[in-house]
Amino acid sequence: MADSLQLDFKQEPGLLTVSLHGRLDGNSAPEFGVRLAEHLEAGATSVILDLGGLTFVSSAGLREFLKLAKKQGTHKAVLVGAQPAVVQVLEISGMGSLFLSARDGNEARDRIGGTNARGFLGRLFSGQAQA
Amino acid sequence: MTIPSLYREYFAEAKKVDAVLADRYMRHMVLGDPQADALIDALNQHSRNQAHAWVERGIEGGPQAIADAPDSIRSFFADLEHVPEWLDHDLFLPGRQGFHRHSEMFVLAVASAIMIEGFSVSLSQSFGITGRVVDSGVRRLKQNNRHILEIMMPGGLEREADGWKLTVRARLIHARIRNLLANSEEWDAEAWGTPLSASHMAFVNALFSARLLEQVAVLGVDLSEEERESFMAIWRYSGHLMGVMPEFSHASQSEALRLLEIAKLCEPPPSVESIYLANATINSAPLLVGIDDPTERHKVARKVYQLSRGLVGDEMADQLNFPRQRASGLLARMRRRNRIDRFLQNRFPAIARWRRVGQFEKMMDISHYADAGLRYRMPQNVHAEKDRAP
Repeated sequence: MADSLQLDFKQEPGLLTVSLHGRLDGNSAPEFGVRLAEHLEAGATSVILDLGGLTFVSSAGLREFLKLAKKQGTHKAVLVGAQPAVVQVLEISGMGSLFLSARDGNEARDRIGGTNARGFLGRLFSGQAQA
Repeated sequence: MTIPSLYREYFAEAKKVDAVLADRYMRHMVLGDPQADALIDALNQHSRNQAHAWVERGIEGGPQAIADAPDSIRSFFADLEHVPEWLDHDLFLPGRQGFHRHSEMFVLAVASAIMIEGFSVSLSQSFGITGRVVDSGVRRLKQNNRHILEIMMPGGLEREADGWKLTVRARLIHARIRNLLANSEEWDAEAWGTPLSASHMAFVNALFSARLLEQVAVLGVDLSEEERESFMAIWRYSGHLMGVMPEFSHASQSEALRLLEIAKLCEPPPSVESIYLANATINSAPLLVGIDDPTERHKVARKVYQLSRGLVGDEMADQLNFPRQRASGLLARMRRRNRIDRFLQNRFPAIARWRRVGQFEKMMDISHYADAGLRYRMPQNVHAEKDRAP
């Protein structure tokens, strides 16, 4: 992994939590994608991406997010705790709409399993999406 | 002042319209990018692997990452760390928002007008000789799109960001090609001046900023004054990183448009290379979006020709041997479509979000991403086919 990004993977039955710290950019995104795919193959049906430590995302990083949304389905992937700079990227690209969003891990678990887990169109039209 | 022979006749006419600007344009036609050119000269004294390592570490980490390099190399990267006093990253957001709201139209205007206008001037001599636009043309268009996309990302031109790094990489590739061409028997300096000259770098920067804003407006894209000023500010800083000289650092759209107007008067009519490169670009457009069925490809290329004619005008389209067809209907339809799109986006936030996602996804589809991350390989040969990656 490029020095610019540290990753922490936590696997529970059916759920993968990934904490990102640093910069998800053209250098770090390819390996992030590879490692995420490896962990998903272990059988996680839902994914929480903890973005609290993420300071920057380039289009290469968003490309990996898009692959995740397509693979998991948009109601099985939650973005948690994005910092303002990252929220701005998610908003301007509209990519936040592809994910559920939550303030913390507990809310994220509720959203995956609960009635709030609307699909892409539901979030798009309810305005609950990140962007 | 040395005037390359190709330009003499046209320069005399341009001077009658704006002597100061025409002088400035021609004076810089025999200059390249002194700092980047000195860097390439210094790198040429070392092995290819060593030079590559310093370029990669210098772009990624700045002068402190290349403590083992000579001062002549470290000083280039040290200078890059100094930001101009007019730089304000906070100004860039509205321009980026405007771009992503309409990125389809921006990309379309780049492929069908901005690149065509770029190749219509004598800059095409450099690209014609190297073959770098035609060889692996789709990949190069995708690299160009990735570069634009990264500088249009929030934070994309901050020091550690991909947009900053790709901009500096492009500057060094230009300097390397300039060096290769200047030492090639194929380059006629007396006639053409300096390859990838300072004037042409400024011309391209003005095209991608001021002229692009004009062209997307023709397609019906309606940006606010704040968004347009912000878009110009983004390209002004990108131009600074790309080595555009301070004399051509335009703060406003009108200044940049004036440069384009006078520059075109100084330039000879499109050459054989211009015709070749402009047509190759239009014919690459369908491949860029994944259309490779010959019939469908031909149909799409014909539409792009039609759009291009509408944007660059009949005179230039005829000079470039584009097929004769009427474009006014197509432009009117596109304007109508974009007006409806704007109305729906303003009225229904959900549609605006949906459009942004869709356009962003398409933008990524037509951009180049490498599994190995950002790469800084410099060209080794004048001709692109000799440099082709294995």
